[in-house]
Amino acid sequence: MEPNTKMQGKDYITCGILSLMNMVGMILSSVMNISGYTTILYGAAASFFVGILFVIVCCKVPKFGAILVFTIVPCIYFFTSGLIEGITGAVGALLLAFAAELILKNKRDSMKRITAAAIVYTLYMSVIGSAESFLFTDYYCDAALAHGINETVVSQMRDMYSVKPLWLVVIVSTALLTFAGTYVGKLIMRKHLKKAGII
Amino acid sequence: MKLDVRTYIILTVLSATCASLNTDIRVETGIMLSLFLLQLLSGRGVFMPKLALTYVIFVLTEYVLLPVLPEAADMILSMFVVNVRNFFPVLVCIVLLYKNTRVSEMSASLTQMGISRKVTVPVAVAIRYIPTLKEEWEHIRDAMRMRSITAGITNPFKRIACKFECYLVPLFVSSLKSSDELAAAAVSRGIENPAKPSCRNYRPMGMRDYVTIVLALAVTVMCFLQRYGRQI
Repeated sequence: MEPNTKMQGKDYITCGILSLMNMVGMILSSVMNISGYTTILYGAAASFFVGILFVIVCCKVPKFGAILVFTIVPCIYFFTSGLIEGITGAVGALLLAFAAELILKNKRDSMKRITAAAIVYTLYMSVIGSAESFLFTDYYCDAALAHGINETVVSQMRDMYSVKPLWLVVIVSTALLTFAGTYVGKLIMRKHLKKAGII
Repeated sequence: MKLDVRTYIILTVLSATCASLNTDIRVETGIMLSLFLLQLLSGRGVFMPKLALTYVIFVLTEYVLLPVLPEAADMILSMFVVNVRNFFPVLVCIVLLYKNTRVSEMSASLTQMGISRKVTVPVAVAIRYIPTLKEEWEHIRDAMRMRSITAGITNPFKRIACKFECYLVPLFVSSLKSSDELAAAAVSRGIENPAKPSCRNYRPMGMRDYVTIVLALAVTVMCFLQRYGRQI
């Protein structure tokens, strides 16, 4: 009998719980927003947690659609974080989740493929998430100032986001931390989860 | 006064929109007072005095404490205080949704709206799992405190790695075990039944839902005009 490759009820439940943990990881990473200089690394910090969870979801639910379902709760979180940023964040996350699904296809036992898919998946944080701040720096910083953020912090942000090559640094650091996350995820899988018989 | 789950969802989205558009503290105070009033009208246990007090502390910190603090302290605290304060309207709406709606009611309303099971099941499970996740985290934290895991490790990086492993692995194990148990329970209750589910808990929207949505829309339009009115 061939294994069932379609998502079933129990797979949605597993993905729902891991999706919630994905959102919790993002909320915890928002500690990086404590200053104007560290805020740029929010996506990179979050991608480390996402990388770990990505490996677990790929191994626990090796079916097409698992990554899309895994993205649902973070999408809702993005949606509640504002109008334009929220919609672009949610749509971007879904599009890149679909791209990750295409990379993975039905061959979810290769770590190289999983790592590549995870790096593409977390691009929504470095590319789409940072797009507004790098492309519309003045609008973004004026809005931050109008909301009451300290002038010095806003000028730090303005200086930083005006240096466009820094966007590339953000993308690379996010990709590197996603790689580190998938590596840690693999170690956790081998050292603990497989031994415990969970995966 | 209990509203429909769709009204709470729309309120959450509109309050997020208002929070991102509005820059006037008087408007924000009005929105927050309305939301707290809605919590009070929603019945016992919905209004959270600690949450309201925290909001007041954040507002006072931003407008009274930060201007008199040294520049360095203002720089460190400003971003955190403003970002958290901006998220409060959304947080109050989430509390309203969470405390007033049973997961079965939410699933019924979402199914009635034509939303696929691929979305409703993960969302319902995630919402139901939030208190369990908090409980699990507290158990793990207590266990780690009792054992003082990093006592013999002097290298700070190894300490961080050890703590990271000791906190995260039990959390993953318990979450994945819970997901298996929940899945078994759901399968035995017919989650994989291909027939269209009946909606016993479905309740159509009433006049109070429409009035709340119209008022929330009016406030959102006001915030939009306040921000972009001069440019139009």
